[in-house]
Amino acid sequence: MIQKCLSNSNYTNEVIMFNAKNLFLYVLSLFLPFALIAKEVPREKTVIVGSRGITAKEVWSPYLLGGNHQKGVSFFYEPLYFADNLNGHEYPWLAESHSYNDDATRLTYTIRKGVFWSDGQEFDASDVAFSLKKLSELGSDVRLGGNYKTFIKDVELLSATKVVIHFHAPAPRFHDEVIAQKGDSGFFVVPEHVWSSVDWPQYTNYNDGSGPVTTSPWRLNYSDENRRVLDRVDSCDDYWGCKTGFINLPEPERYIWLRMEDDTSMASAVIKNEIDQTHDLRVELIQQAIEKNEFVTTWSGREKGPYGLVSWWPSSLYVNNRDKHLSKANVRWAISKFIDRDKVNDFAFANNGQVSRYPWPAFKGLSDITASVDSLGVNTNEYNPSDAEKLLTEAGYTKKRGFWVDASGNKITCNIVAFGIFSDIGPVIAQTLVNAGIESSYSEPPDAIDQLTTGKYNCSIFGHNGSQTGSIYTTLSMYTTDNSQNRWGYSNSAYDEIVTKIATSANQNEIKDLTNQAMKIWLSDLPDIPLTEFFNRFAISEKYWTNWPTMTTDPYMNGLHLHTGMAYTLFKLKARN
Amino acid sequence: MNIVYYIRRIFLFIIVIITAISLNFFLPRWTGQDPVQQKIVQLEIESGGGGGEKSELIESYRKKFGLDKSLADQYLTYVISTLKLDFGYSISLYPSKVADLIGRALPWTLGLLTVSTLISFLVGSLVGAYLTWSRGRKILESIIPILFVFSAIPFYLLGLVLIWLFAFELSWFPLFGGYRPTTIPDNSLKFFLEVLEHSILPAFSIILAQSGFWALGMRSMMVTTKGEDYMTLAEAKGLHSKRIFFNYGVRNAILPQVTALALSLSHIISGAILVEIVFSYPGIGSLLYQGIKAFDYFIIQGVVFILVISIAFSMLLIDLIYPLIDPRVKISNL
Amino acid sequence: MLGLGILLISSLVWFAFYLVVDFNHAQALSFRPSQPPSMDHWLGTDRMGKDVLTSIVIGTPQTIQIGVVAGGIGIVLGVILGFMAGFFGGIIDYVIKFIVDVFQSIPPLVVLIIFAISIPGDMTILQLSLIVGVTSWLGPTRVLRSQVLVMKELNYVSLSRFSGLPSWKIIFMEILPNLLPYVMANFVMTVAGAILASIGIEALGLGAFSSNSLGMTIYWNIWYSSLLQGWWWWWSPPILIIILVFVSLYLISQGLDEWANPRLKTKF
Repeated sequence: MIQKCLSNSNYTNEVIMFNAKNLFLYVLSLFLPFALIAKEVPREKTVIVGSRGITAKEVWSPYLLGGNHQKGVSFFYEPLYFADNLNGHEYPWLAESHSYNDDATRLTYTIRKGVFWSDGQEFDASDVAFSLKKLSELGSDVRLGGNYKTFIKDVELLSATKVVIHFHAPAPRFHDEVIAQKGDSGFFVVPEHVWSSVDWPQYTNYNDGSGPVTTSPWRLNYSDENRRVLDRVDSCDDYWGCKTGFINLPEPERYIWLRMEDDTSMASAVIKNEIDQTHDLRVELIQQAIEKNEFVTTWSGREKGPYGLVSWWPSSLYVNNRDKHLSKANVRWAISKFIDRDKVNDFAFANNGQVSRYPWPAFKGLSDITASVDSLGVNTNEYNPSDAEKLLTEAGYTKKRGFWVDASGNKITCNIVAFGIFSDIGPVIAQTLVNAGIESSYSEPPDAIDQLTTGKYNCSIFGHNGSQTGSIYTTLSMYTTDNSQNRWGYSNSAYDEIVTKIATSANQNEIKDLTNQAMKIWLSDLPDIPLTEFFNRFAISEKYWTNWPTMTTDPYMNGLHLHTGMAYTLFKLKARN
Repeated sequence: MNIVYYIRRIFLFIIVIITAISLNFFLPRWTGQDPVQQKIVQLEIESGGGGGEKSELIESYRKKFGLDKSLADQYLTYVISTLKLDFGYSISLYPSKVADLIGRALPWTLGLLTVSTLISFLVGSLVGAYLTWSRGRKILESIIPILFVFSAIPFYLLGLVLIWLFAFELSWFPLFGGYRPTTIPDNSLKFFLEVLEHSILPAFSIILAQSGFWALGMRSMMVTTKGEDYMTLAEAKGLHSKRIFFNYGVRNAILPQVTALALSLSHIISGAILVEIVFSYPGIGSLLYQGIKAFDYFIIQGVVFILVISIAFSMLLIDLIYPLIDPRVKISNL
Repeated sequence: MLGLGILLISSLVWFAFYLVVDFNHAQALSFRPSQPPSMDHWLGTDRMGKDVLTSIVIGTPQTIQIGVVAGGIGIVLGVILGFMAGFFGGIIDYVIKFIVDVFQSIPPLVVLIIFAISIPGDMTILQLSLIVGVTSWLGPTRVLRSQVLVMKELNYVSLSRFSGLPSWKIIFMEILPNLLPYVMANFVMTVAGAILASIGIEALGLGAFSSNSLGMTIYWNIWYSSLLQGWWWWWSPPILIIILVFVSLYLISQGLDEWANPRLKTKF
């Protein structure tokens, strides 16, 4: 009976379930599979993290439809390069070096020797070539595959350690934007001998609990929707890095990811040192945690803000350009000038936020571009209500009974729909607009995302999945007509033309020039109203582990556990005592 | 006995199931929102997007879940597979199957709910009965308002306050979950003890909130019963007061209570859902909430179906047993 | 009686405040957030910069409105359906009873949540009241039906029927007046149940966001972890008021019950 329960995962199992006589046995049998590996690892050798978001227990492939690489998955896919765009670090890992040819149509990687997979097979450039080639064939059929198909013409395996990528057109940003593993994106190499015979969009890599074949020192112990447990290999010889002397085994012997949806429990848990790292928390919660527990610290340390690191997702007030009033640039600029961003920062983040001028993050790799766009002299953060009023009057609006209306008496509306993470600034922005005479409100309806993607919204608050380093092409392309990310409904053919030119240019000066031209148009239109940088504010407990990357110690990597840099961080953590 | 009564009752049960299935199917779809779209964008938010077109991804998803077929088609498939207890794949937690998710969550809810409801019913009723019996005990009488106050506070608020007080400030109990974060579930006694430890606060909040309700109900029942003639007769006969209390008083008063229990089952479950959410308890309630937030039709359908069946089944049981415990019930009056 | 007293006194107190406060103070962004009580703000300010006192004063009637409207819908439907079922019997009774039995098995919270999600955009207080009302009529229908059944057998009712009085006249002139205390008691309890349900929905984040109702206040409290932050001036007023409302409603319904059935009178 129990064997039958264990082996059948189709509906016969459920039929049995409802037979009262067997209910008890069924319940018992649910626990049996878990009795497989119950190795005891002490708390001091375990790293425990908590975050929101639920993922099915079988999701262990980033290419799976519905897949996800956060929550431990990325650990199993060691990258060619680890990268940290906030401060411009890059760490070669499975690759030793890379180089472009002169016109950026060929990219060559030199792969490290001595790497092997967990099933004993050797790892070499053929795995890299296979992965790249397959991705370029599958394209959007798999998650994350789009870019490969768009750019890659062919992949050439030169030797066991050299692989060359041929592009359709010059792609100087391919290494930074696609290959280097940073934050939430990167190239995940897979073993050819396993993946050549599976269906990529369906393959979970869960392998009935034994987890992925990997080069990393991690093995899957347990996985369900609420927790994931990864164990480190025991001996140095089981991991290529240690065996070849490249790097020592990570000190943590176990990594546990916990699902915690509730901010309060997460904060309480870190205060009691039950978890070592949290997900994003509100400023005052972090301050509470710091106050109540001497071991708690953050990216900016214990003493002062902003308690987090800038993420690549700057937030802005999304205005639907298709709306009757919001389609006018004057109205959009007026809205922007009505918002006192410093006050918002004060109110929402107790002054621990950072205003953002442009829809790309304040990363080191983009500082040149930011400086060059700054030279155009347009301040998107300006708080100037009288200017705003002038703009509205120019566009034919008058103020009646406290609200701005057009000639037919219709009020300008900007009702904001958003979700959870913007609860801080949402109501504040809405109130500001109401005070200025624009009808506004803030709500979090369950269909907010739906409204946003189908263009049915009035206003919203959201981030930008754009460029992170090198050039702002990706961000710029988000505003081109009919781009799938263009949720604002913005359309300007002159702008589109310039952006298309940037895509195919390999000349740095030309790109810089074109970028400024495009931004000039963008700035005068302001299809999107920049608000603040998005911070990843998480709390860390140093009771058991030290040497976390922080601004005050050594910001060697983006330390949030959801991001791909966590695998790197684990190598650097040191046990307290 | 009265076969007709039993047949009618079971027939009702079947109709309830079918109606529940149908409503279950139409209500979420009536909202007109697209769960697949939702899921894809959610993914994008969580993980920096992947570039390229999303629409192909969305299309393959829709085909996979049969969402591109006509409504009638979907309905038929749905009814047939539900009766086979195959709830299909979950959308938001793909590739997990809904039946698996429910199977793992159900034991937690069953355990927590049945135990707490039984305890609060018994404790509440006995306390309520006892309170009417022994007059003059001022201290006991003051319990009534306290109990009532507790039953006035919604379960989940009570739960929140309990967590903050006992788990956080006093650290007597664990903060969340069904078992300790570092533990991997297995078959050991240690594990079961942990489960017990983690279920005390959730159970306590349900018990506190519900006992008041049962106590008060029982109290009014007892008062009515006390006025009955047979009670006076029993006293006059000189029967032992405890015997009168249990065999005559409680035994008669408990009957309407049992009916009340049957009727309020769905309300109890509603409350339990909220308690589970508050305590991050890995039961059906949390699963349902998860499904609702993600518009995951299939999870919602599966869980609601299970809930409805359980409630209908329990009501059926109670209705079938009732004539056995109370011979006075006139069957034809149903 | 006690219940009525409590309700009246608190209503007067509330009314006094209502006249005095500035409605604008319940807007977000009005003041520095999270300030403890002071002379300027008797109950402090909340995380969004609203004056807590003002917010509560405005929000309480909103919550009660939901309860009354939903309870009203519930009781009206309950009276109509229950009376029809009880009095006319036969097929009408069968159908109504059947519908009630079927829906009894579905947890009301689930139905509420599903309805709440399906309303696109922001919800208003009125919409919330309607949704809660939709799930409130089951209980009253069942209870009133059994009451009517009992009444039907009483002598004076049978007499009226024999004398040829039209049915609706019997219902309104004989049965309803006698059942009025029960109906009112039921109404009060339905209102209490409706308030509870609406708070449940709002606390889950599916309510009317821009309102100040008690449920939304609780939602924001949970969202901003006010318990952990120690902002007692923000989480205690809604809870205290809810308790107050419930206790007084219950006492009122007890009183009505006693009025209908004097045997229930006990020394409290």
